[in-house]
Amino acid sequence: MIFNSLDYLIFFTLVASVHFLLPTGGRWPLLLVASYGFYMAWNPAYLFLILCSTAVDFLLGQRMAEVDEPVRRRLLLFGSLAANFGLLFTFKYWNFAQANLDRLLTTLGTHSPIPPIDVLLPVGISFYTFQTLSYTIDIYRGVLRPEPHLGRFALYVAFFPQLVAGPIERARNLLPQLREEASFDWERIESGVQLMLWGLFKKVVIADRVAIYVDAVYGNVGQHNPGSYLLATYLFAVQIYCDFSGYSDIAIGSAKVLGYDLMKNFERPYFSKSMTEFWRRWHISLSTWLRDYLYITLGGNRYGLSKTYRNLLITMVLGGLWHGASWNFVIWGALHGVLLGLSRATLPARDQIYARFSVPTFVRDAWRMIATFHLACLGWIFFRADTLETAWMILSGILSGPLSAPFRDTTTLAHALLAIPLMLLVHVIQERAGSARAWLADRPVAIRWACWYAMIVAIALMGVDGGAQFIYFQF
Amino acid sequence: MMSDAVGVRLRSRWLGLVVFVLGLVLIDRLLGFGLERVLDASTPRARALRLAVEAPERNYDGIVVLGSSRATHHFEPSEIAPRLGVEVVNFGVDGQGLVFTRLLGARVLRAARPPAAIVVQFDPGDFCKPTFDRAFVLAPLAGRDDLVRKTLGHDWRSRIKLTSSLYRFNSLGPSLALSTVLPTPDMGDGFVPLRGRIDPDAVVPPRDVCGADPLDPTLAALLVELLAEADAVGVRVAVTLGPRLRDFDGIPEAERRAITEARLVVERGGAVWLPLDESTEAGRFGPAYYRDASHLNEEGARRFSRLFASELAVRWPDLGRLGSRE
Repeated sequence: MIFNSLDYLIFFTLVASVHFLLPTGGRWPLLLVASYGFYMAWNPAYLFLILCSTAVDFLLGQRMAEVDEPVRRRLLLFGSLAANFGLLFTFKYWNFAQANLDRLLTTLGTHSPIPPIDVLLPVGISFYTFQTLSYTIDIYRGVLRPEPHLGRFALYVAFFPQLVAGPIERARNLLPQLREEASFDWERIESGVQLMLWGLFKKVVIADRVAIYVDAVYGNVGQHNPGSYLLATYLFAVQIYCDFSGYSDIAIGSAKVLGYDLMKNFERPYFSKSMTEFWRRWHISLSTWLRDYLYITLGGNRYGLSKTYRNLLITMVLGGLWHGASWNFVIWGALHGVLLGLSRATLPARDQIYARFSVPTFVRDAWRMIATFHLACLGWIFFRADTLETAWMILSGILSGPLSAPFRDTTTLAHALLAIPLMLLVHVIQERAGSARAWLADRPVAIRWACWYAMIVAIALMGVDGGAQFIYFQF
Repeated sequence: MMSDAVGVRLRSRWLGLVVFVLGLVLIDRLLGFGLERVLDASTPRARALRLAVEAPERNYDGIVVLGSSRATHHFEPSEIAPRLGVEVVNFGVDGQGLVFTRLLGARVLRAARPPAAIVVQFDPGDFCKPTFDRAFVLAPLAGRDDLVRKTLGHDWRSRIKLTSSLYRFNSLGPSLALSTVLPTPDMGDGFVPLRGRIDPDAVVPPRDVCGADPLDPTLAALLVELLAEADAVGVRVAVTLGPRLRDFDGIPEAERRAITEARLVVERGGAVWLPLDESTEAGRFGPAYYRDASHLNEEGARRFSRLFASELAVRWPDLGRLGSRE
């Protein structure tokens, strides 16, 4: 069951309605059953993995809080890490590791003794694994008390709005809310529904539409010219942003309707003026997770420049690998690691140049924004291409030129030309006013309603039907 | 206890919601009505919709070819027509399948002067991969064509979607808007050649179009219905398979079952079964004739069309006489 489907609309309406009809004590069981049902709509068997992860982390969390001895606490943490990463490795990385080991051993004239396994990647495994890990790590660090109620902890792991593609919540944020239970609040419901609509608009009107062009080019690289490669790469940057931020908006909006606040996941990343800022605005729940639990654990920026760069590189390579078991993602992550390091290293020199030539602030900011966007696009080539060869073909095609007229798909491009400027306008309002919904709330009711009607009409008339999967479900 | 002020505010919220929803229904009906009028007053630019709109209004003199991209790019009327002595038009539409073929075929058969014969390009996937969603491009006709409404509303989700007048025009807005201001290009005989050729060294794995999907009897029923309708108005039907670039031995078992089932349906319906795929000696084309693994290039299409016409001429030697009927 995906968010951009009639099934989810009906499922969510039913769950939300019953949720508010139940007494507060009866709400967590409803949400837990609904969450498990939501997950089982993909593959009932994989619920077993969530149950395992829940049981292991609940028990180890409880035990960790009872133990003072550092060695035993460390052992318990190691148990949690081993269980969660073990599941993740088996279902997500086993075949990748096996294939690479086999390739390596083939060069030595032998074959890998480990066989590949025939399993489907469980939807959302990377997301809920990181979410439960943050719980045990926080208890180990002494910044979180364990949740005494198994049911509420299970709901924290499996809460359906963010179960399959985040935001990767922290126990410190979500668990207290699950304990408090929310009351019926019209403003909150209205605001949640509006956010869901906006997310749906980004997903079905923009992301799924431009995906038609992107898939046509990236799926048949040999049939297209460098001009098409460039346009498809720009459009993929739009697609992945609208797809994932659209998903996050629907997730956050759904939770808001039910009375829970999830963390923000995107903040107009293509308005960033550096790669460092890009990662503060892109997939915030993952980037802060990597910062808090990996980068800082590695030492962060506390042990000199060279170790800072090393830590950045390790963090981003592992962040890339988190996305998928493929060398493309490893290179994408490494590229971002290098760009983050370069961004940090060259900042003083760049500032000096701007100062020496008295470059006006708006020119400098515009240039930085354009440059950052293009660096992100460079990474997207590796992220989107199916193989390294395809990525290289596209990159070398764009760089060697000439950039001839791109392939024309009039319907797709006409839809994109109508919808993308609208999204940009909303983003400009958000950058200036903080919240487009708050800005709109100050307008007369006729304008407010006209805007929401226009959005619903756009979804009905311009949205791509057929319920395409969200890109991040595969991670 | 809820205070009076809170109660009044809540009631006004609910009232506002009801008014908002009623406004939405009104907008849906008004915009849907407007788009219907635009559709009436213009020639749609989308090939699928244009063919469906024009199909019942045309007069046919020979053969209409129906099918997916493997019809659009494989059947060249200028190669087929002189060999059969009848006019040939290609109504294939990229990305479509048997659902669309069924609906377009029905509209063709409804013409005041239907064709002498229709050729249905069949793909094994037609019996295992439902293409109802793709055929939704015909949803604007749901208000005026019962078969379109019934076929597209095959499940509860689709029936809900079709209740919206606006949703029926999903994805067609810009195309309809353009059709009111720009001249619609001439489609000619409908054949669209593909240029270029596949890399001769390319490794083409046998694409399993059915995969693990079982044969779907509702899809087979669509072909049965089309054959019966054609028979009722005296129109002959030939169902044909086109070639793909792959090893014949590589045809997966599920596809073989789909082909066997299609052959049974066709023969029971009194139509002609004309397999010209890679399982036949004649249907084995070299890589030089392919643009990609599933589609022939222009040269391949010409060769295939000649081959097809010769085979059909043997089955229907009297077709030329029928095609020029008054």
